[in-house]
Amino acid sequence: MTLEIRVGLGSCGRASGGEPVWAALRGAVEAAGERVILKRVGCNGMCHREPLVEVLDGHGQRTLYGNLTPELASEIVPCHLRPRRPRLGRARRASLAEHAVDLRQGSAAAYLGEPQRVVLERCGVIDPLSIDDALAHGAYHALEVCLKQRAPAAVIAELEQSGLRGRGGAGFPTGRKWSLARAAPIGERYVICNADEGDPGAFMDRLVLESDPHRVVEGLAIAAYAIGASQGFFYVRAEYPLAVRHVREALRQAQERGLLGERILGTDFTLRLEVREGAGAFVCGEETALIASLEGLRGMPRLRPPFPVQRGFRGAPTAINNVETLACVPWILDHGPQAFSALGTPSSKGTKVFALAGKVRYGGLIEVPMGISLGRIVEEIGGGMRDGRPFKAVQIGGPSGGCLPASLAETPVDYEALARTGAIMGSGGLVVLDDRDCMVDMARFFLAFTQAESCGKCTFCRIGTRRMLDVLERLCAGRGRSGDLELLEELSDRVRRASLCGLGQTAPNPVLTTLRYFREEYQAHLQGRCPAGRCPALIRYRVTALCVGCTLCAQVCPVDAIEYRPYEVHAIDDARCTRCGMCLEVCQDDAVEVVSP
Amino acid sequence: MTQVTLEIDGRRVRVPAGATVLEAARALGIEIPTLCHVPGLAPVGSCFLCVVQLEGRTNLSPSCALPAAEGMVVTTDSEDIRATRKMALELLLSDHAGECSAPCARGCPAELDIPGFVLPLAIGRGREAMKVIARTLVLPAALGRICPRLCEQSCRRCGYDEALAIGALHRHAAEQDLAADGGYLPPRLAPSGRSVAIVGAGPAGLAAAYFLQQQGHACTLFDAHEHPGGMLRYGIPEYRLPRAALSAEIDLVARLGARFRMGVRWGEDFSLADLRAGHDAVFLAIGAQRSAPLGCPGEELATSGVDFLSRVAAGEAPPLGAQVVVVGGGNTAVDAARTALRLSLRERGADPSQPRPQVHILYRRSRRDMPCLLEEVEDAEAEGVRVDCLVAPVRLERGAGGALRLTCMRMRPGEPDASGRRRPVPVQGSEHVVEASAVVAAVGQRVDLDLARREGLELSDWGLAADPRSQATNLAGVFAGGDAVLGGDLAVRAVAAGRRAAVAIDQYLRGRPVVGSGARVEVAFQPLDEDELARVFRDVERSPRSGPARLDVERRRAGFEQVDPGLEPSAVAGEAQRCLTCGCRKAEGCAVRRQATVYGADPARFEGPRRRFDQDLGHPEIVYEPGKCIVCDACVRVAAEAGEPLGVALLGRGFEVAMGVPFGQPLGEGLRRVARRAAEVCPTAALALRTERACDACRLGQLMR
Repeated sequence: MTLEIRVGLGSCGRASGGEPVWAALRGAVEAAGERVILKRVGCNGMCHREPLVEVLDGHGQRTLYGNLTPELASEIVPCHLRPRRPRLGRARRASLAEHAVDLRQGSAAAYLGEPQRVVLERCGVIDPLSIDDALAHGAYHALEVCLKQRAPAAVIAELEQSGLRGRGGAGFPTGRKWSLARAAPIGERYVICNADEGDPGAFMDRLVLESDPHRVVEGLAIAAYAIGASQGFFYVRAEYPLAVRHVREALRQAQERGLLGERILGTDFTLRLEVREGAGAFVCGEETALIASLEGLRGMPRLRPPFPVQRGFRGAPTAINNVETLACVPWILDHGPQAFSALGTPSSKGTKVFALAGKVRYGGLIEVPMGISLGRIVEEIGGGMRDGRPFKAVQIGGPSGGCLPASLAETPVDYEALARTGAIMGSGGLVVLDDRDCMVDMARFFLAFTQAESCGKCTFCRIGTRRMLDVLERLCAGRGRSGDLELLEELSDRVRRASLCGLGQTAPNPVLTTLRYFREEYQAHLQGRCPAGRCPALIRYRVTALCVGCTLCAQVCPVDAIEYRPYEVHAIDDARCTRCGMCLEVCQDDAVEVVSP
Repeated sequence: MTQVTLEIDGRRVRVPAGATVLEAARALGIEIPTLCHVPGLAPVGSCFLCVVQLEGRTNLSPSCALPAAEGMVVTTDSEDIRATRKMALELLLSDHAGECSAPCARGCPAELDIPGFVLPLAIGRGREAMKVIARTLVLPAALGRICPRLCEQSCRRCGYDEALAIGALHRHAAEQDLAADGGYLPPRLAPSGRSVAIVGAGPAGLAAAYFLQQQGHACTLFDAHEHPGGMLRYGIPEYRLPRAALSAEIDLVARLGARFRMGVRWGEDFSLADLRAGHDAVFLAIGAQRSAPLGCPGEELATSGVDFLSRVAAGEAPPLGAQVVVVGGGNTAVDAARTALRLSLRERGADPSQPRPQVHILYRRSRRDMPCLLEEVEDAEAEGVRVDCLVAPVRLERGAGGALRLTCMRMRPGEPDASGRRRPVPVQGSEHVVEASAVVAAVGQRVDLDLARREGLELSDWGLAADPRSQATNLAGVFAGGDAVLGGDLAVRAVAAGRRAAVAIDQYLRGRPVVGSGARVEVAFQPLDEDELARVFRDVERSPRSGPARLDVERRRAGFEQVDPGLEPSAVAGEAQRCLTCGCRKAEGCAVRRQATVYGADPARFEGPRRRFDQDLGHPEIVYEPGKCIVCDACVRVAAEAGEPLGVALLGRGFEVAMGVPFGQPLGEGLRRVARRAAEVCPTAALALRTERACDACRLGQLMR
């Protein structure tokens, strides 16, 4: 019997302590001899359970352990190889068993749900640094079929039939983009994989590049074949060192196997791909800014038209596709466009990967079929709200997206349906909010991000967003003025309509959607109240009669605003209090409350 | 070459493929405003002033970067587009650490270009200084003596050491100029054949005549007094403004060709209808001649302050006795008190048996609220006038011995009123009696409105109703200004109104729209922080203001000799060199200001974080003020096109983006070849040629070289 043990060593796994777990397992495996295969894999998406270890025994039995420590991990090999050996105490066996994830349980099942896995198909399954493993799992099959059996036009036709749209956010049909690039007059052409993922809290592209780089390399190679390019780039942000390393290694290995380079697989098709690291400017995710950055210029967008498919890198037709889009391509060609378009809604096909975060019980990376409702994502995949608090809203689409209230939970994941609400599909940020999240503060947070990341070119984006932020900051500080909401709307409208690129055109979205769905919260701020109890200038903390005088709050208060008086009801000195909320967090008796006048 | 046809504002135009919509619009003669566009350089489309609307799109597009396409339908002007352009300008100005004009100039009602005339004075070029002064100010020597000098209150040096002596400087410039060759006469256009009747030869009327004569219009001034000058002659005592000095300046107006008809009175010797029939336009500058009554029982027993001063000026010496009480706190009150004191002292002569004359000023508010210059009050006190504040008259009676008994009450400051001053509130039980040989009422002036009403002129709460821009009244061709419109007010405001009226009358006579002088947007610094002030005063030495020596008090009391002799000629250049030359190098050429004026942008609409004021004076040819940069990228493109080895670039992200030289190199390295061109294409004064103003190293230089 051979045991395969997969250890999640993506960025999330490493950050949660995956490497000591790996080291502990390696010790155990070496002791056990050749009957065990130990494999480093990427992440399967269940980031909330990292470090993750998956065990496959020879009988097809699959066990997933989450939240592992090195001590527990070292028990895995003996436990699975010699299940009944008495040396293992019952207690230790039991404690390891507690970390096993029940794969039939709702959330885990939803996370790893089989039919929806297109992009994440091999994430957490294969060793991202081993092309053999990838090939064993079907990598480059689609490329070979394309090169040997399909004309470029036929490849594009299949893409068009599949209904695949750009996953970077805007949703432009991928097949159409390629056919436009192909239609340009004969000459040099380029393909670019846009891996400049920058939305705060979004990490779909990073996870895919770290866990299954060959899928994206294959997708880009097919794109190049389809449009007739012989050179291409991975534009990866430098803050993703592991992804950069894995892509570089994947390119090296593919080149070695003749899957890239001159006369690929013996055909006439030649393709050189290389990695370029972006210096961390959010705006370089915008395609014209990305091209400027690749050309060695300051990453500033320009007016489109002309579009990059007409005039892109070095003035040549260029197809730029997002990581997730390209990751869909081999699957579509392997399974046929109908299989892909069978998933989703009439206008949005396939699956979408989201980085699920916020106040749900289980956060992480999820792949869902298009058309699923936001409410189902929260309930079935996220496992519902954490701490049993009410579900208030979802923030979808990151800083360019919008906040949708719980009353719109039935909204499906669909480009058009989301756009109708004022939000956007975006690249995959999905933050779930509860009643303690302040919508004004939320708008302020996202706008502060886009404002700081503006390239500064357009007047409205550079200064207009700053003036919007000024208004939001004064609302959060209780210094709002009458007319501020109207001013926000006027500024939003002009920033949206008078900016060159998507950054400025969408920057007002968080403000506009919160104004649209949570206007009463803005009005409360105008009157000096924060209903969510979030904005420090508008709230204070108070100890209620439930206090038993345990002094816990007095001990944690960082500014000594609570006097240490055992067995007496504590009191908070408002003048000293910095509204950090530590007292509320530590109180065992729910005796600390937030008051907003 | 292929051509495309598109439609702009309903007109079809054919342009070569590759042309931009901006170029296509210009081919049609449609002007679209731009800031970042530089002909011949690649477009960037960043300022968003050139936005246009494409049919079928909700977004606005920058026309400078938008390629014209076949069948495109473009709108270049709509309410939405104008509002967008206006807001773009307001946003740019909210992040623009600059000021168009120096604060002193903004403080001057007559819009005198103060740094402009002070700079030549600093290097001894009096005539050049005078030419600058004469562009906006008439009677500069007289005003230099008597103006409350709002300019000096705004002087940037106020927060540093002491204000520049602006009034003394233009007084000196004008006096020197008169003494040298009879005074500078501005050039006149050929006679227009039009005539203007001006009623009132005071500061407003004289100013209107001065500027209208330059435009070639023949002015006749009608005045009831024997001599021209109005309140300057009949309201201001000789010791402050010697008649000879005033006459010399008025003579310039006469030398420009204005005619004076003295001793004729509106309503007796002529009517408005007569003037309208005999002239092409009329300017009513009749002043505010009537004294306001005391406002208490017995007020008829009081002497009018205005009348008193006027009679003294006319050579009469009405006796007021030895115990004079002046009620009021303005210049008229102080002038009346000091005049009364001088007269009483003269009457008493050297006879020690006579009682010592006593003059009191009673004012109902506190001292700091007195609407006159503090130095006037101090001069009065030094001469022996007593000033009692927070006292108000309640009743005036004639006592048994023929003396006047003025019953007064003490006041205390109450809540602030509309003027920002604290309204005086009577203190109960504080009634007391002041004995007086005469009580002079100097509590304000009134415009004589009966005539105006009869002639069909509309009135306001203060006087004649006139448009504040054009001074036009409700009657065609009839304009009004000065005290007649404002009620008793400052001479400098009257002079300003006279000039505004002259501009509007000229427009009227030439058949143009009567809009008055176009007001341009004035950008002022938002309050500067300490670091910025330190940069403003970098290399500025603290130096005291040159004050003229005041005449000895005994000589002052002995007669009507001029109290303020003016600056010592040797001190003039030194004082002028204290000027910081505030204001903008491109006040005239700035496209941001020009467009802000066109679109009515309010520079103060948005507040919040902004760029900081700074000056980089390290480049030999140009000055860089990063606080003014609007991130248009023009200099970056110019440098790149010229193949500057290092060049300049936009640095940073978000709101903080700024133009700078890569790798922290000095500007001289970044702009070695095309510094001048960079300054020329800069749409504002972020980059400006040093020669656009005085040498920036010493603030005086270019003129000196």
